[in-house]
Amino acid sequence: MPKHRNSLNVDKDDKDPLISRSSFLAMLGVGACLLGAGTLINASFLGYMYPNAMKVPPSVFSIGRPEEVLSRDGKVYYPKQKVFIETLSGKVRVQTAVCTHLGCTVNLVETGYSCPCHGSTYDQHGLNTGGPAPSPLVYFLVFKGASGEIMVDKAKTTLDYEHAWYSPTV
Amino acid sequence: MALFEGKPKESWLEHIANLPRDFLRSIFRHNYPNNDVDRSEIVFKNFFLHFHPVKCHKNSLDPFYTLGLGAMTTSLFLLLTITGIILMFYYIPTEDRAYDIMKDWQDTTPFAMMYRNMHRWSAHLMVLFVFLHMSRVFYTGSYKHTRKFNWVIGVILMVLTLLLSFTGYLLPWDQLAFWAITVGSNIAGYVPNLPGFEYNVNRVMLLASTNVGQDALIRFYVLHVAFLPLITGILIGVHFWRIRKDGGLSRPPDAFRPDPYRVVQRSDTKESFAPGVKRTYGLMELVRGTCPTVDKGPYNFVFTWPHLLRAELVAFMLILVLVLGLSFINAPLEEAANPSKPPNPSKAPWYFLGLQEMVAYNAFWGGVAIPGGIVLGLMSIPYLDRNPYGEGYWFHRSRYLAIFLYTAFMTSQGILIIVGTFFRGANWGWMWPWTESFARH
Repeated sequence: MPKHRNSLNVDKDDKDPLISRSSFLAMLGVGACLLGAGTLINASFLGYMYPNAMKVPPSVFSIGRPEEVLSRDGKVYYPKQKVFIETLSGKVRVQTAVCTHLGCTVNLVETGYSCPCHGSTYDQHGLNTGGPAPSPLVYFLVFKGASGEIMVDKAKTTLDYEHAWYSPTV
Repeated sequence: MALFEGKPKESWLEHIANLPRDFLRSIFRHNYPNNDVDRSEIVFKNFFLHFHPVKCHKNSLDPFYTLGLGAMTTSLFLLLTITGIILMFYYIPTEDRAYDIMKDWQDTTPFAMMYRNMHRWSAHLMVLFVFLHMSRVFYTGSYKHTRKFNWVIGVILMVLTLLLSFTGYLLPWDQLAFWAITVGSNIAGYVPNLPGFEYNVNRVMLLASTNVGQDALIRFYVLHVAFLPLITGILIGVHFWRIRKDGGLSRPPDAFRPDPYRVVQRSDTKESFAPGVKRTYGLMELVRGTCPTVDKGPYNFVFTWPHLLRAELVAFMLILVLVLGLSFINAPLEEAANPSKPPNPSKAPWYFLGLQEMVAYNAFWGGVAIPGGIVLGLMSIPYLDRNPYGEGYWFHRSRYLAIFLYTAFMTSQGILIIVGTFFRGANWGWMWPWTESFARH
């Protein structure tokens, strides 16, 4: 192998390797170091961009005293928590208003619900009937808290609209 | 008197008399470009001009070949950088203040509305011109042979332009901004998660939280004012550099190639290498060929100063006039962000309405798979197109299939955008644009 390779005069029959053994090993070593450093930097950046403590809002919230919740009838939108609160003769159930497609807030329409962003439609019970929505609107667990207020737990969901009702004792 | 490099030291009087000339020469290393040597040197020695070649082909100057689209896109990027920095003097990326500051500032600060309008309309125009430029490059077959990878860089720049637009219109924190972040981050949530992460890592990387708020706003701000412009600027530099290294803009081969004729009036030598010398030299500032052209210029090449620079100035001035004209139209600002209720219908700016229309069929396929496939597909065009003909010709006859496929694709995207813009009403329902209840974004 020539000591100084001249790229202009490459002999096609020459059996010399394109790269010497020592150069190959050196590049392998440097490559491994760079790859390792790159992985560390990327992993640290990924970790840095994914905080351990995030402002996740509490999943349990109050919708008020039983008397006032049950005093109205029908389905109302509760904007603070993006839920629909439906009351019917002493029973209450709470359903999400967040579209299962891409998270817009759905509107109440005659046929059920409709999403203004991409046109998902749901029936009265929140079953997805049309548009891109992949799944129905869930109901949340309703219970009476220690303070006597009616509480909703967003972490506990059900699709069973008959059993989503909760009858608080006033 | 002491000699320095053979010259006697000048007297104070001479020194003062020569000072203006010496001072100018200390700044500019060339004379006024009224002859060919200085026309070369001004491009060669000036930092701001040195990314140009000293000479360029006449075909690159033909306004009906390039249509000036690349220069116009660059002009828009420059205008956006300048106006963007001006906007940064007042804007504060906080959830509770961003919108109010925008409102107050528009009404109280002289020229604030003008700069915001320029920035907004330049951004819209830049998206438009990126697509027009891409179409020009496709229809002239300019992505072939040595220019393959420059097309890939161009596609990356297109994606960066769209990302810059997206992160930009989020910053006013109005209804458009809030629901765009909501939808955009939820689309990112449809990208498969890495194992071991509680929340979808792609979504959290954007929002720094599980829901849209202050943490998301500062992230998009940093992306918009630092991260993305930096990458875009670097890649624009690479894009230009590669054009230069590929021998200038694409062009058809010269039909007539005479012996190089003498253009540089510098020395008194008349000799040149004889044509037919087969050894090639990869020298800077020389065009490809079999003979180094000492003292001679290649056929059909003209000096960058003034020809190319004049063409670029015309493109820049056209864009500046257009943007200044558009700055009389006020950029939209919707109501303040209301996290509980999106506007109905909730529409993105026009360039994302095709995407929104696709997402309205299926979130994963319309929002992740198809857009990703489109970007990868566009990038792979130079590597799939086996036809070697047509470089430098508008609509070359041998490329009918490629031209048909590209046109069909762009038309389908255009139809999606038109449908999203004019045929979608409340609750994204179908609506004819001439009906009364038509509510446009």
